[in-house]
Amino acid sequence: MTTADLWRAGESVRMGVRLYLAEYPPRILATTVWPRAVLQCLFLTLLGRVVGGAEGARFAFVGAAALIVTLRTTTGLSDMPMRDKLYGTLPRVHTGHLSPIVVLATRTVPYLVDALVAVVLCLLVVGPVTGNAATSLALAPLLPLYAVVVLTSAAAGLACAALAVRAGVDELIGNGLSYLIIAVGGVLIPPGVLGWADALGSVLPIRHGLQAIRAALAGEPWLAHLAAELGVGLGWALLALVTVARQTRRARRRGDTDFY
Amino acid sequence: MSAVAEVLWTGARHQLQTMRVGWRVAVIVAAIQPVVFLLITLGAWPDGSAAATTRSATGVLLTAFWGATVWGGAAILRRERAEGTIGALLTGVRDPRLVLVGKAFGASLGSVATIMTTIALVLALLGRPVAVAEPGWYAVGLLAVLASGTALGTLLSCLFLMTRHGPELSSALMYPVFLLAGLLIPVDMIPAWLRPAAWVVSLHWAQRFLTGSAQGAPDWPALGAVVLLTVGYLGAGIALFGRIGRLVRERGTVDHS
Repeated sequence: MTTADLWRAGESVRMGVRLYLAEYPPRILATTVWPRAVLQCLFLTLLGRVVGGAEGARFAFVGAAALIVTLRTTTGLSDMPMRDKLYGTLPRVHTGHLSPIVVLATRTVPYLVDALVAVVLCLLVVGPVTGNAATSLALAPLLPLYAVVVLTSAAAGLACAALAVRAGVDELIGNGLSYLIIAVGGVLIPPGVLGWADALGSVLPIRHGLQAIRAALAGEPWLAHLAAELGVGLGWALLALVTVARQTRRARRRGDTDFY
Repeated sequence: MSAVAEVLWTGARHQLQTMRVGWRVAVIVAAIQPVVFLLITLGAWPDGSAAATTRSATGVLLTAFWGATVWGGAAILRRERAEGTIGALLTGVRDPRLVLVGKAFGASLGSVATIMTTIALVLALLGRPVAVAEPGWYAVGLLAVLASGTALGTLLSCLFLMTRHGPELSSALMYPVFLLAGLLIPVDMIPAWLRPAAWVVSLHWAQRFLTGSAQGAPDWPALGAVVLLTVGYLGAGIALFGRIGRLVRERGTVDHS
């Protein structure tokens, strides 16, 4: 990558931040987006208490604090190429100097930052409110693990967004993946309860990262879980890369990028 | 069929067709969401009784219905504006309030039908029986839920028309009711000072009536509360819609309201 490409990537990040702030101005972030994240975490934590008592609440709190990143990653990123399609800017992304996947990836930066902000807010608010303040404190040093989960779920979000853009099913795939993670990602239902869920969950983002976080909390070895999470994230990133590359080649070859 | 009923039914049919075309959102909130909540709540009681299953299924039905209302019924006018048809709606020959209520009814009907079908399929697949001691009164409760969803859809649709950040508002509105209405989270698990918030949510009372009917002891005051709140929501929604209609005509901002 040349210095000019780096500059272009920087401009893409800047554009991504401006787009993000146009979509979510600070007052909307403060009054709807962040409160929703905190309330969802609170709801899932209390649901954990309903189904599993105090220990269930603690289990759910740790999981919900990780799951909350999907609001900005798998769900939030799912409509990014779709917006280019709607606004008529997809051909420019496809034919620009910067690789389309780099454009998409650099635009995710504000989403990643916001996802981490949501995790911090959940630790600050939901932990104390639900009697899990000690867990919040114990989770604070593990924020880098949550950051890994943000990255891997963002990779999955980009892959889903790329897969969904042609059929216009971004909402369905992005939200569907998030609900799938709730169901089989070890967020509320511990791994091992449902056999088929374990198999499915093992290829989804968050699942192994969450196991790493739980293991670190319990003082057990967690590096293997982290490696598995990174592996899953890499797989999703490769899927995004291949999908976007194929779509770009096809759109250029057929000249149908405007109608894509 | 009277003219009023015809307008209401035409609005409902149009909304059902709109839902069919825009099926993606309906699938998320009325099919995927209840499946996940059922798996979580039923997973907690692998050998749960029919009564516990019925209670969970009712809670999931109402929870998913609220999600469907804030994403479906509440988005009716937003969609009209996005598609450039709100001017025709407000200035048409037919009373726009009737059209809106009809559409909100269609959204609620489609949501309830989809959610109930989903729940029935999941319970059948899991082999979990349900027990409803008073099926007639349970059905009456479901009709009340349908009416309440129509009224809520009408009211929220007007509120969401006043901002371009409707989707974010829909998103933010889901969880306060999930948390406070006692649908899946028992009210006694929330702080005492927050509990009165549930009193103004009709679905809270609907939950009490439905679970009471399932257990053979319908909670009549709860049904009365559902009816009263539904009338209140509908009255507020119609009044707000009338006010918005007047304002945008006076200002000539019908398409940008």
